[in-house]
Amino acid sequence: MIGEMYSGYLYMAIAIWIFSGLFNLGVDRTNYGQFEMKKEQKASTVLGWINLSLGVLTFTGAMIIKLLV
Amino acid sequence: MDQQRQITVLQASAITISTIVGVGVLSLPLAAVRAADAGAPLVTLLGAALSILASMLIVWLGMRFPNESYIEYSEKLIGKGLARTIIIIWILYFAILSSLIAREFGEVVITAVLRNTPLEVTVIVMLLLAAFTSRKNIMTFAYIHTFYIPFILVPVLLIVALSLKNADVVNVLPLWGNEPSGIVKGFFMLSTMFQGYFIMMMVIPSMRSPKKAMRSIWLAMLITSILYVLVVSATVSVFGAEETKKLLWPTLELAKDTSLPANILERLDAVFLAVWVTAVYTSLFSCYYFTIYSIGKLFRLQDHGMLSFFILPFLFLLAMLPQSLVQLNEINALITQFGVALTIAYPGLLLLVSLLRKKRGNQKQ
Repeated sequence: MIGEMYSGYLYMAIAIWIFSGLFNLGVDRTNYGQFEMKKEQKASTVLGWINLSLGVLTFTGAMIIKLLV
Repeated sequence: MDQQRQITVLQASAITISTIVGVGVLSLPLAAVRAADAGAPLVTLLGAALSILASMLIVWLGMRFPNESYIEYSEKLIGKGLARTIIIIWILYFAILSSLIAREFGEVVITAVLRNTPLEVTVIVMLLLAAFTSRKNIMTFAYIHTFYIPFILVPVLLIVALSLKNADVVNVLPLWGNEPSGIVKGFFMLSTMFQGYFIMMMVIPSMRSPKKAMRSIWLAMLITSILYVLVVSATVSVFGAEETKKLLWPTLELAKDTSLPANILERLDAVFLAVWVTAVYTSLFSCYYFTIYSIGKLFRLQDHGMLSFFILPFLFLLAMLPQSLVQLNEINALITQFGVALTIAYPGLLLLVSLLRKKRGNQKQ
C-alpha cells in the first residue's frame, strides 16, 4: 500500500514531519526557553519529538516495504 | 492598553468576510442551480438568511462571555467532560476543513493555472503559508485579514458588474425556479457556503468592545450575502441554469467571458484567479488559526505557535487522501453539511444552557 498508492506524496510528508519536528525542537523550544515559558517549552519538545519520530519511522517503514515488494 | 484587545468592529467584519469568501466562490453557482435551477439567486438569499440567524447565535453567546474563550465558557456551561469531547470533534472538523480548502485550491490551480505542477506542491505551499502566518498573535491575524479585504471585494464586484452586459434576465426567471421543491433542501446546502462566521467565536474575546460584536457580524453577513447573491445572479443570468450545471467552476467561466468595455482587456479570469488565491489564503488562514488556537486553549497554553508546524504534516496527508476531484467534492459536501449542523447546534446548545442557567461571564473589560 505504501509503496504503490501513496508513493506520490509520502516522501513529501516524511520531509515535512522531519522539518516540523526539527523546527519545534530547534526554534520553538529555544524561544520558549528564553521567555521562560516552561509549559510551552515542554510542549514544543514533546511535539517536536513526536513529529521527528513519525517521520523517521514512516521513512524506515517505507524503505522496508519497498525492499520487500 | 491590552495588546490582545484591540480588534475593532470593522476589523472583526473584515475577518469574517475574508473567512467566508474563499474557495467555495468558484462552485457556488453550481450548488445553487443544482438546488433550484433558475431560482438559484433566491435559494442563495435564503441560505444567507439562515446563516445570518446562525451567526447571531454565535455572537450572542460570545457577548455573554466577552472575556473568555469559547472553550472556557463551554466547560463552565456543560461541564469539562462533555465540553472537551465536543471541542475535540470541533477541532478535528476545522482541521479537516483546512485540509479540504488546501486540496480544492490545489485542484483548481493545477487545472486552470499551473498544469505541469504536481498537486502536492500547490497544496503544501498554501499550507506552509498558513502555518507560518498562524504562529503570530491574534492582532497580526486581524491585520492580515483587514489588509486583504479590499483586494478580495473590489475585483470580485467589478468582474460581476462587467459581466452583466452579457446577462439575460429571462435566464433567472421564474424567480423561484422550475422546481420550487428543491429550494427547501437547497437553502440548507447553500448555508454551508457561509459558515465562516464561526471565526467570531475566536475574535470576540479580543475585541475592543465585545458589545459591538453584533454590529460587526451584521455588516459582515450583509456584505457577504450581497456579494454571493450577485455572483450567483450574474452567473445564472449570463449562462442560464442548464449551462451552469455543466460547468465545474461557473464563477471562473464567468470571469473568462467578461471583458472591459470596448474589449480593452479580455479573459479577466487571470485577474480573478489572482484575487481568488488571496481569498483562499485568508479562508485557510482562518481555519488553520482557529484549529491551533482551539488546541492551545484546550491545553491552556499561553502561545499556540508550536502547534502550527506540528499539525502541518497531518493536514497535508488529510488533504492528499481524496483520490479524485469527484471524491473530493463528495467528501466536501458531507463534511460541510456536518459542519453547519455543528456550528449551529453546539453554540445553540451553549446559548440555551447559558440562558436557562442564567450564567454570564465577567462583563468587565
